[in-house]
Amino acid sequence: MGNKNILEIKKLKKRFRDIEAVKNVNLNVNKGDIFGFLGPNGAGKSTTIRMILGLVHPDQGQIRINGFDINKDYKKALQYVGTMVETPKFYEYLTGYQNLKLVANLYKNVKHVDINKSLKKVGLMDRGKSKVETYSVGMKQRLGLARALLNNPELVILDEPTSGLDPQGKKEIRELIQQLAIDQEITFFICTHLLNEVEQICNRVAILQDGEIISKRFIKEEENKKWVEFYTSQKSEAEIMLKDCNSIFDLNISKNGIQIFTIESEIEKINQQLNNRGIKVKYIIPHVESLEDYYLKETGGHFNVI
Amino acid sequence: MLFSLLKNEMYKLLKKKKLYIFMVIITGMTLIPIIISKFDNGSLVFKVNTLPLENLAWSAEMIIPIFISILVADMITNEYREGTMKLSLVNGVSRTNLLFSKILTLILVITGLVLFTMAVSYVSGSFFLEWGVPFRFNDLLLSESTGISYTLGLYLLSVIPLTAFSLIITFLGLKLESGGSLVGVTIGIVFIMNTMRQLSSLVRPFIISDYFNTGYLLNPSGIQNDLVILLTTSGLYFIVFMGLSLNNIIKKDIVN
Repeated sequence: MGNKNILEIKKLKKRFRDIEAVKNVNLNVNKGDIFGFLGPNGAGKSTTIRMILGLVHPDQGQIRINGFDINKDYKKALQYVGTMVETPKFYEYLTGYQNLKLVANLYKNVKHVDINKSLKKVGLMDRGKSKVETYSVGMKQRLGLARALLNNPELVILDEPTSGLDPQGKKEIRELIQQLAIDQEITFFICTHLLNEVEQICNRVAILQDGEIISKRFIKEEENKKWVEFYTSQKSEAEIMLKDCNSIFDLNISKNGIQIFTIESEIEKINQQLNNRGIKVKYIIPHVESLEDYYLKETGGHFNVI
Repeated sequence: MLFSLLKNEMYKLLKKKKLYIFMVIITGMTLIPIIISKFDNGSLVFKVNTLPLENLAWSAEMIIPIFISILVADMITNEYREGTMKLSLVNGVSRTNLLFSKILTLILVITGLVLFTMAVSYVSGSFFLEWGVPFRFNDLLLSESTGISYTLGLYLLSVIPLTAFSLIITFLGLKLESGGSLVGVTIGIVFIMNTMRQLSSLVRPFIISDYFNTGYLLNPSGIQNDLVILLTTSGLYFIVFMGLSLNNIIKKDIVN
C-alpha cells in the first residue's frame, strides 16, 4: 500500500438538477496500476472521468493528479495525462496526422517525430495522411489512443478503449496497454464494460453503482499475494485490528467474515494475531472467484454491463 | 499557449471550404455593380473611387454578419455538440484561453474579409470602371491615394462594431445546441435590428448593426462625435457579451 498515488479522489459529489450522478466517491490509483473502473450504465463513471479531467465541475470533493489539485492547478495536473473519453472525436475533414498535430501544437516538447511514433505504436503509420472521415470505427479508436499517448503521459485515462475493435484489434490494444505499463511505466485508468478485458489486463478494480464506489479490490494475484476469507462472527473487531496491518493490501467485510488480500506466508501470522486478540476464526478459505462473479455479487446482478 | 490555440483555430478554418465560399460570394457581389454600370445606361453608374464604399454597405451589413454566425456555429456550437471542444481542454488549455483564441480568430477573419471586400472592389473596379471624380470628404476633394487611405480607415473601423456583434453571436453560440439554430437566430437578430433602426430614431444609436457600414462617417456633421458614439456603443456590447461568454464557458459542464 506504500505506492505513490498518481490519482487521488476524495469525497467527490456531483448533482445534475434532480439526479445525484456521483455521491461521495473516494478513490486512489497508484503509480504503475492498470486500474479498472467498472459499473453498470448510468452508474456515474463518465461523470467521474469528466470531473477528473476538469470538464465537469464537482459540487464537492477534491481531485489530485500527481499531487496537483485539478481545480487549482489545472494545467499542471493535466500536463502528463493522456485521455480518450468515450468514442474518440476528431476533426473529420483533417487527416489523422493533422489531428495529432493540433494536439502537438499545445505542447512545446512534442515534435513531428513524436506524432509519427504515436501513429506507429497504434499501427496507423500508413493511414496517417488519410482524412479521418475515411477511417473505420476501430481506426478512430486507435487514433484516439495515439492522441492519448502523444504528450508522453504518466497517467492515461481511457473510456472503453477497445470499443468498435475486432477481436484481433482488441487483443493488440490490450497488449499495447500492458506493454506501455511495463516499458514506459504508464499508469492506466480504464473505464470499460468488458469484464474479461479488465480481468486480463487490470491489477485493481473499483465498482461504481448509483454514483458510489461499492467495492475496490486487487484482482491480480501479484507475486505471492492472494485473497483469503477468514470466517468469523466478530467481523468489526477483526476489521479494526487488521485495517492498519502492513502486510494486508486490501480488505473487505464479507457475508461470513472478512476477506483480505495479503502475502501467502502472512496468513498464518494473521490468524495467530486474531486468535491472540480473542477473535475466533472458524475457517480460512482461499478466495477464488472470477471478476464476473465478484462483479455480479457486488452489484446485485447487473447483467447489462457484460 | 494563446498563440498555439490561435494557430490551431486558423489551421482548422483554412482547411474548410466555407471561408473560400464566402470569398467567392463577396467577389461575385462586387461584380454586380460593375455589371450594372456596364450595361445600364441609367443613373446607377459606379466609379472606382466610390465602389469600395458602396460594397462596404452590403458586405458589412449582410454577408459578414452571416459568415460570423456560420463561423461561430463551427468553432463553438458544433465543436461542443460534436465533442471536439474538449480536445483542447483535456490537454491543459484553460477555458478562458480557449474562448480568447476563438474571439481572436473571429477578429482576424472579420478583418480579413473586410479587407478582401475592399481589395476586390478596387481591383475589379480598376479593370472595368473609370476612377471618376476625386474622393470627397467633409467637402474636401482628396487625391486618389488619400481617398484610398480614407476608405481603408473606414473599412478597418467597421471591424470594431462587427467584432462587438460577433461577441453577441459567441454568447449565443455557447447557449444554443445546434449550429443551424445559431445561424437562424443570427439572421433573425440582424432582421430585428435593421427593422428597429428604421422604426425608431430613439433606439437607433443603441443598435450595433447601425454602425456596421462606417460609410456614414463621411457625413460632414462631425466625424469626431460619430466616432466616439461608434466606439462607445461597440465597447459596451463588447464588454457585456465578453463578460457573459466568459461566465458561461467557465461555469459550463462539458458533457458532450
